Amino acid sequence: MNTTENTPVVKIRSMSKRFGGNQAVKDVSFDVYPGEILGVIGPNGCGKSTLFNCILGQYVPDEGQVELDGVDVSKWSPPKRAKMGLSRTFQLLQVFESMSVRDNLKTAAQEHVGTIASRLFKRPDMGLAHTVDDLIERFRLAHLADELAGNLSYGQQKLLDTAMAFVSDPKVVFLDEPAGGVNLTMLADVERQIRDLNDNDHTTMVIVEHNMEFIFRLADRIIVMAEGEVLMTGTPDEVRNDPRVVEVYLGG
Amino acid sequence: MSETNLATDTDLENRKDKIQTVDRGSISPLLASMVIAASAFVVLFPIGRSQFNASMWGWLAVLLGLGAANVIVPRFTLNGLMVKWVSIVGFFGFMALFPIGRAGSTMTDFGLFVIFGAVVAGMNLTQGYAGQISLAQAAFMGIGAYVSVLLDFGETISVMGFSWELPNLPFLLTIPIAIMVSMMLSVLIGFPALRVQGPWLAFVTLAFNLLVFLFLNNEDEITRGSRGMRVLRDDFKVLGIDMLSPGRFYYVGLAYLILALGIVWWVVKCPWGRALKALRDNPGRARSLGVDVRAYTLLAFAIGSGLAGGAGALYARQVEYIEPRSFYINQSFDFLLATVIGGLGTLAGPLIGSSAITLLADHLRFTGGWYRVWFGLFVIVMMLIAPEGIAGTFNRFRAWFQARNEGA
Repeated sequence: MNTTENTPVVKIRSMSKRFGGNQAVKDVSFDVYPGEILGVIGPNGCGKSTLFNCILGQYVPDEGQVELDGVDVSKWSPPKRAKMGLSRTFQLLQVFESMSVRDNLKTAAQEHVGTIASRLFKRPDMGLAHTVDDLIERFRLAHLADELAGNLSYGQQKLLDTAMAFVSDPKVVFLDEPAGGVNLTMLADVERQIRDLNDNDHTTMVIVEHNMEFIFRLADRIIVMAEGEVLMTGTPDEVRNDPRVVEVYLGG
Repeated sequence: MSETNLATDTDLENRKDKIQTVDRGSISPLLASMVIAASAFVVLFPIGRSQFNASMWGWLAVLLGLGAANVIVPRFTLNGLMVKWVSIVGFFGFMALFPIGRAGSTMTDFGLFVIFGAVVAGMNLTQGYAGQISLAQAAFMGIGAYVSVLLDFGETISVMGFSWELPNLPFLLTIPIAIMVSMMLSVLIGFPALRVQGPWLAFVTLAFNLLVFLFLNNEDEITRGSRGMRVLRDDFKVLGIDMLSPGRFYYVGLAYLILALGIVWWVVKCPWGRALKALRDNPGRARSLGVDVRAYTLLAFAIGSGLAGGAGALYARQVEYIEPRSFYINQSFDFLLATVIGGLGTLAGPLIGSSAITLLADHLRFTGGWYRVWFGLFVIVMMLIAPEGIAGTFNRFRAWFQARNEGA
């Protein structure tokens, strides 16, 4: 896919975050183009998750801007960024365990419709049933739709967690290790879902992943991070064959 | 593709079993029944020794009625909807018929029970559903009481040399004004306190309750300070009906209680309920999905405080006398206890909790100065054995009976 001719949907500019003496993210800049899957890889502790937290507002970065469709969103709260189309998952699984699968997805979808005051006067369903059931079907969770999320297996919860990031039809989805802790058969499921959402819905994604084969198969471009900095950016083939990447992973 | 699919349903069943066993083991129905037996003992203990009065029967009826509806009925029907309606109709039917043939003093107790029920329902919305502790519920009630009384009696007050003629609004109109004033003040103090996650709202509301008390106590010209205000009720009509007797005014309180419970029920039922549940479950994830945690908690707190404000207006008429002491921090703590005893995040909880701090507490007064000690002991034991409160324990009971019947 040739993405470079488009204008970027998200621009990250000189993002930096320091924890005490530890420079977790150091002057990171990159663009995300509409419709692409951008992989972010790097050894443990290279700042990938911190970078996500800075982009989506969970952390306040020391420096740097995030632009969404040309608008500087750096000062926005996480809920506002989510409502404007920046969606995410976390490295550790986070579903609402005391709610059903369907209610988890409705929660993820409902804040994008109307205002907080108008939601006080809506029926519980809010007309989201169709969207939610559609996604439940696509993620093959239909037989579990009314089950409490806390009763699901880890892999099923992971699928639900990922589905929750997509239900609001966001502009860009940031996935933090969608394949983490998922067994091999389930991994194929996750990969197929992501492929499907990218091909058919043209959802733009940024994916942090440790499973190299998984991310090399999915991504259009890959950013390699090391010690908080961007080491290189390129296609999966370029990254695979770059001696610096091998050195980062093996030599350290 | 289906062979690549997910875990099997058998796996799921196993997990469910495991979870249920853990739940069942943590607080067994046996222990829970001991709590209820103990509380029944506390109620029945003084029979033949001192004033065994109607309010005690009331408390027993509240407790046993709710318990019976929740525990016994499922054995025969297993239908959740049926249980719900039996509880609701049974309870409110009892409450509606209760004044028949009762003495005025009993009805004063019961009037307080329904009014405090609305206050505790508001607190339960803040604490049980939005997960924030407010310790100013008595202050908001006091604000509502003073606002309503000052607007109703057409008096002249002088503040800093200026003379103000206060309006003489109809009583029913002062209730929404009392609610609005309480809501606005709660937004004002909640806004900075809820900027950060954590127990800050509890601290700020505690300080606010002190502040309100000092204001009511010291602003002599407006509130008459510690001398308090006598609430004149001669020729007191609501919607053209004479409300002079406690037995009649009780129905105004009961109507307000139903309104308050209806509001809480609606908030929990509409899409807000899901958002509130999500932000209690996992606030970080909720925020990342667009749930404005701060706005939801702030508005839930405002609604909860507003309910207390309106109840304050009724409280003033019920006891016919208001003074700053009635709205001091100890009253807020009583409401906190009532919320917790009743059961956080349950709709019936505030009724049980309110009955405990009005009817039961009143009943325990025969112990003289020891009543606080007994009451405190009762709460401690209850929290040790049934931390989900009485309504929560009933719910557990029901689930246990249902599971047993389904198994059989």
